Amino acid sequence: MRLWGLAEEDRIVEGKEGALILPKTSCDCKTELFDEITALPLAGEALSCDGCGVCTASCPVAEIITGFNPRSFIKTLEAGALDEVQKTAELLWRCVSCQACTHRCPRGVFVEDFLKAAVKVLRRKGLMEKSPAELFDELFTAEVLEYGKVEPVELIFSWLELQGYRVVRDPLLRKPLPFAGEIPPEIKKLVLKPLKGLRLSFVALNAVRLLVHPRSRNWGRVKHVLRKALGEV
Amino acid sequence: MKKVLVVGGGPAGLSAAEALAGLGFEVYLVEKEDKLGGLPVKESRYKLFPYEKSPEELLNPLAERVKEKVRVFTGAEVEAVLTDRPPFDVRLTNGETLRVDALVLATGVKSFDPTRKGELGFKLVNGVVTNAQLEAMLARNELKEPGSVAFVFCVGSRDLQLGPSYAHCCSYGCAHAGMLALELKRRFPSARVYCFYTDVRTCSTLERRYYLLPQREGVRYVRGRVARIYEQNGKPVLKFEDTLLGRPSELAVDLAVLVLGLEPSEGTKKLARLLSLKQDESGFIAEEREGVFVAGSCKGLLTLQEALTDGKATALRAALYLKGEKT
Ligand SMILES: Cc1cc2nc3c(=O)[nH]c(=O)nc-3n(C[C@H](O)[C@H](O)[C@H](O)COP(=O)(O)OP(=O)(O)OC[C@H]3O[C@@H](n4cnc5c(N)ncnc54)[C@H](O)[C@@H]3O)c2cc1C
Ligand code: SF4
Ligand code: SF4
Repeated sequence: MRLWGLAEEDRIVEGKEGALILPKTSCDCKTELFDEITALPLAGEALSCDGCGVCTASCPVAEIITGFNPRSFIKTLEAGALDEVQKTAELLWRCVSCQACTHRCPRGVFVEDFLKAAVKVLRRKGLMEKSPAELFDELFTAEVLEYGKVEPVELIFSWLELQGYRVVRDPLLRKPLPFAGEIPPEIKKLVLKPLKGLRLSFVALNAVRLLVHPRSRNWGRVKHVLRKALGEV
Repeated sequence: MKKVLVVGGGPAGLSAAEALAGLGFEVYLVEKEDKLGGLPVKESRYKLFPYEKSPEELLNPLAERVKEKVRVFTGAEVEAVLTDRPPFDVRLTNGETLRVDALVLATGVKSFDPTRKGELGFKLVNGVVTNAQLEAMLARNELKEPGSVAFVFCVGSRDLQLGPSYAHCCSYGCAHAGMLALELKRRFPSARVYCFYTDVRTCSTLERRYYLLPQREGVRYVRGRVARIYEQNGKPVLKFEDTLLGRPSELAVDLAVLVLGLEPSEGTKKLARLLSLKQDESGFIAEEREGVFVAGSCKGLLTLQEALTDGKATALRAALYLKGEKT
């Protein structure tokens, strides 16, 4: 087992140093975490990292999201500084897997693979919140299992609901009513733009379809097939 | 009288040849270029650390002494070694064939070709030069006062992106850049001079003169490797992370100086093949055998001072061998 970081048992607690109320050294050294991450495929190359910062300087995400920093993710995890890791952990999922970091790294680190491995381990240990992408995946799957297909309107509004927006549903079928509740302004713009271009006659003809949730039939069987297939896996 | 052939007339080869001749052997020296002095002279340098003298000032006297006592072939290379064991029959490209009892290889190194790192903009971005080019500018007094200069360390060194043979450190770059940065800062006190580093390797006594002094006199050391250089308004812009602040950043400068790495010269690789000597992961010669001695940077990077010393040490080993003593 590699010994890394500043280990708890090596910290000075006697004498003058001990008189200080706060420990001067960082101590929350969860080096097992790094060992577990680097045991995953390709992630182990992170042992070669010299902290040069080329990955971060090459990363398009680091350019727009303050605190997203592949080098710092590697180094703080390596040091086992859990308190530091948790400060930015929720940003990890923002990686777009473009591989710019891995392509440029002078030490041959598979940076992107390391980050994905880190997400996996941190999530497994409950040290990281579910990412929006994961939450969306879950919603999507639940939707398909419920209706046998994707119901776009239902999906979008359930997603908005999960994000904390108020969604109004009709009392009978519990279907979301567009324009009744809150909608993020960007989405409103996105929906209204094509509507503005429509001719009145078209709107009149299709009013029901535009305002009320469209009905789809006979997908119920697919739902059963899917559930059965899932049960067999 | 026992005969020795020294291959390569750089600092290591010259000092080996001088020592062997002084010890009374008949010495030949073959140098591929027309001029003796090796890499420092070939790249027309301004100043060599730690002597702070020009290559000519430092190496010409040595070359002159060697020419007096040694048979020197310039503009020639080793073409073939016709015997596997000593004495060696060596054919040169100028048609000469020599029979010698020992060989000293001092075929040295060459500079990294910066066009291989396209992202650093050499020949693509205005204002990106190599350290050798900056030296030439300084030597010819051609450099106009710059507003800002950035030294980019480790270009072609310690970079596995270029392949597994690029893990080594060039061993001269940090001190060399520190010397030039300090020089620029003193010549142009209002210029902003930056050094972008991953680690600064100015070992032993080089630390004070080429790292501490530059810092004290205003050269700014930024801890981060430069990832990309692109052009904006005719100037180079460096992209890097200041890793001590944890911030990805950009900096526009007037002049970006690439501190080039070194790798085994073609001659080094060729002689290793001709004599079937093992090479290490980077291609440096990793082995000697009966009657074959290796001196200087062709076995791993040395600074000039070390190469001069190593030439002498290798000469001594060869001399002991030629006198029949175990080494
Ligand atoms: C830009 C730059 C600046 C530098 N500045 C400094 C400095 O200030 N201080 C310092 O200490 N170091 C400096 N160095 C490093 C220094 O140049 C090397 O340490 C030194 O040259 C090593 O000497 P050497 O004799 O081992 O090899 P080299 O200098 O490479 O000499 C090898 C010689 O062998 C010859 N040769 C090669 N193949 C053959 C062949 N097949 N047949 C015949 N001859 C052959 C070559 O032509 C060359 O003359 C600098 C390097 C560079 C690139
Ligand atoms: S580029 Fe590679 S060596 Fe440099 S900090 Fe990133 S992972 Fe580490
Ligand atoms: S793969 Fe991820 S971490 Fe790497 S450069 Fe792309 S977005 Fe950044």
